Amino acid sequence: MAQAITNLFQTVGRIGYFTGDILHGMAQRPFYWDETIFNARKVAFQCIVPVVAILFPIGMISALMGLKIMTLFGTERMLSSLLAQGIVKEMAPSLAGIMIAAQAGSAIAGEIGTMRVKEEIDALGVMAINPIKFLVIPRLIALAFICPLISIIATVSGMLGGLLVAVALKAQNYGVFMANLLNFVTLVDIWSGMLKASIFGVAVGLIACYYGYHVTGGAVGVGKAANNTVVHSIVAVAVLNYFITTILMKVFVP
Amino acid sequence: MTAVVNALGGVGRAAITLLALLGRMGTFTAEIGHWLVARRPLASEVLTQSVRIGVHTVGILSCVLFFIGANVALVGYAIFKQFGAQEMIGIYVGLSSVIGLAPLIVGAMLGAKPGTEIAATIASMRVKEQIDALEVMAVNPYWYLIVPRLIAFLLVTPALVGFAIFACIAGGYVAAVFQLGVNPGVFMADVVRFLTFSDIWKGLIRAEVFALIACGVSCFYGFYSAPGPAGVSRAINLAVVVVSTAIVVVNYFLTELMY
Amino acid sequence: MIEFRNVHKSFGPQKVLDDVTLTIPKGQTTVIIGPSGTGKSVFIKLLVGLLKPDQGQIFIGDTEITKMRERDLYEVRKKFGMLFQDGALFDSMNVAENIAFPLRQHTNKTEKEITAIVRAKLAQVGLPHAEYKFPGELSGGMRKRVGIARALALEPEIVLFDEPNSGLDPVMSDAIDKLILRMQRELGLTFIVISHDLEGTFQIADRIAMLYKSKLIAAGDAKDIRASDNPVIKQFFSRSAEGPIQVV
Repeated sequence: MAQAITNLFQTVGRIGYFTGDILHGMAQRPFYWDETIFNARKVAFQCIVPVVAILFPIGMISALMGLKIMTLFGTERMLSSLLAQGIVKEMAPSLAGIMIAAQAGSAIAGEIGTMRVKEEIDALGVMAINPIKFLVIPRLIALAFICPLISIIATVSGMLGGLLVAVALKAQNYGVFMANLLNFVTLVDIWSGMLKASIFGVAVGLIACYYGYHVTGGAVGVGKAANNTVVHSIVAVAVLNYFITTILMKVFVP
Repeated sequence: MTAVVNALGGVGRAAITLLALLGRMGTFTAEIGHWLVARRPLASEVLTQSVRIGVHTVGILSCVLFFIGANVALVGYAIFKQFGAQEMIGIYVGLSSVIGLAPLIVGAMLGAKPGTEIAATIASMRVKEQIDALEVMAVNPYWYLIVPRLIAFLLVTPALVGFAIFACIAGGYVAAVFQLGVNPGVFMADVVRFLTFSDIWKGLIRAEVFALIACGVSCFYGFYSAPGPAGVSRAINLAVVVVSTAIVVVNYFLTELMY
Repeated sequence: MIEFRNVHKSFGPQKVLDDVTLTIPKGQTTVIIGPSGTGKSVFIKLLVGLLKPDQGQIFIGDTEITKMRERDLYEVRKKFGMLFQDGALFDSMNVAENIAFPLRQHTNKTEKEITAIVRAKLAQVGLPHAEYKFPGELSGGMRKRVGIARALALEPEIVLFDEPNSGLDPVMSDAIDKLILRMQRELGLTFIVISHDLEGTFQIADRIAMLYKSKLIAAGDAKDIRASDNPVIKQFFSRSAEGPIQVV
């Protein structure tokens, strides 16, 4: 147990150092635009399908359970406003964060780890290209900008899932559903959801790049890096989510 | 015209790839089914794997669920407050932990932690010809590698669900009582007010199904991994994504069926 | 005795073995040689039933393994021992456990007997005192020695070696060849070796079979093959890039 805690602090410390290197790299030219755009497209295409595939059924199940409970109190009309709030504020950013951890995180750790094992990162260094600037920074920037967009797509697909169950399967009134949908959703909710997603994206990217960059020992090492990335970024998303929610509530809830 | 033909060709190829994948999954499942009953699994392997999977998962699972529980309490409180129904927070935390979150997150974390570990282990065994070595030594790899892990997953799941429910409600309690100032006695009374015994065993059944999916999918992608570090990392990537998607989709149907 | 009769094998459009007919005699070392990518590994996988041929028959002794059910195949495989390219030792087990693995799976021997066999096999391959090391701590040559010890644990009739020299420096390579030679003389078993290493081949081979472009182009006593005037064989043995073998 004590060992595990020491390890945790050591890893966090090393990621801190790594972040220092990254910030240092960001302050200097050149910035690799092409790499950034390439990675942004890649992350977007990789993540959209899994995120939609998760959020749609989650929207469905939330509507299903919500209806069950609300029928008890005779408040079915409120369904869509509650659903929209839950999805916009909470489910879309956090589940998108978890899927980005699973999909983009393991892929990035795998890519960079494979490059490390095949000595491609050393080759970059020999060619006088800073691997942190060339490999890590473009991926982080790409994640920071793409994750909010993915979160928006997640929101829409979650609401569509809810709509499907409520209107098509459980015969709620379409007009009532749509009219109440955005009743309680404020602009603050939307952009704070996007901000959350962006922070999750950067956290996942940082963890993935850290583990990928420091791979040792061939295919087994790459496997371990991808594994660690997935697990630790899910933990990071859960923990960060709680603290961001706390801060947002302090700031915006009177 | 050529564009249409090309597009059709692309769809056809994708369909064939998908069919081939489904076929492979089918034979894979059939082999596992056969070896589950054909020969008694090695008790020592089952035990080692159960301990390993349980120990490796429980800490990280509890940590994740603690924070999820705390977050659920915060967000739920904020939403219910708009209707002046913030007293419902205990009921909300209890129901969503036991019915919704605990089984689902147990499944997801089983996929993320021991699942990816298994995918990585089996994939690197494949790459290093160790699976061929098993075959040549006349030991069936399904029987030796996969069946014990599958049984271990099923064995540890109930305990993990217990830890998960506990951690989730503990997180909710901490947030509700210390952050939001809800009365602790009222909160705990509310948590259990609407819970029935059937909620718990229905959650358990769902978690067992998720565990089955997590183990089967991880083993599948590990078993058919392409050689080299790129192959191993691809196997892990596919395993996590497919496990989490499949769990959420199956969860919908199970919920619709059970509740 | 092992016999391949008109064996064909392709992967998709690519033909890997084309009408191969070959008899491998008992109690001798047969080396299968040929340039990279000519189906040597496929040959060995067919032999132990890891792959099935598209056409043709394969006999181990009097039994045909080609159409055998999986369960019966497992019985046949107990006659085989195999050294994989990098040893294929299980990373989660130490050296002793690796060698004991087939014994624990297939025999009812007591732990005491197993320990004795493990010791004896390790001494035989020249690695005493390595029982409690893990595969990750061993050098390439040591892993191959442990792999040989594991292959011999069940007292097999036929031992297969997949590229025993790959990844070794010349000195270690020679040591492994000498070990293979000595084991064969001591045990009198059927050894089948896949190799593209010429020094090793000449040192250990009683018989040589050469695969080229998915066909078996020659098979016979080692000294006959060495003296052959087939241009492909001559080029391969003279280690030259000039000749009928396409280099690119």
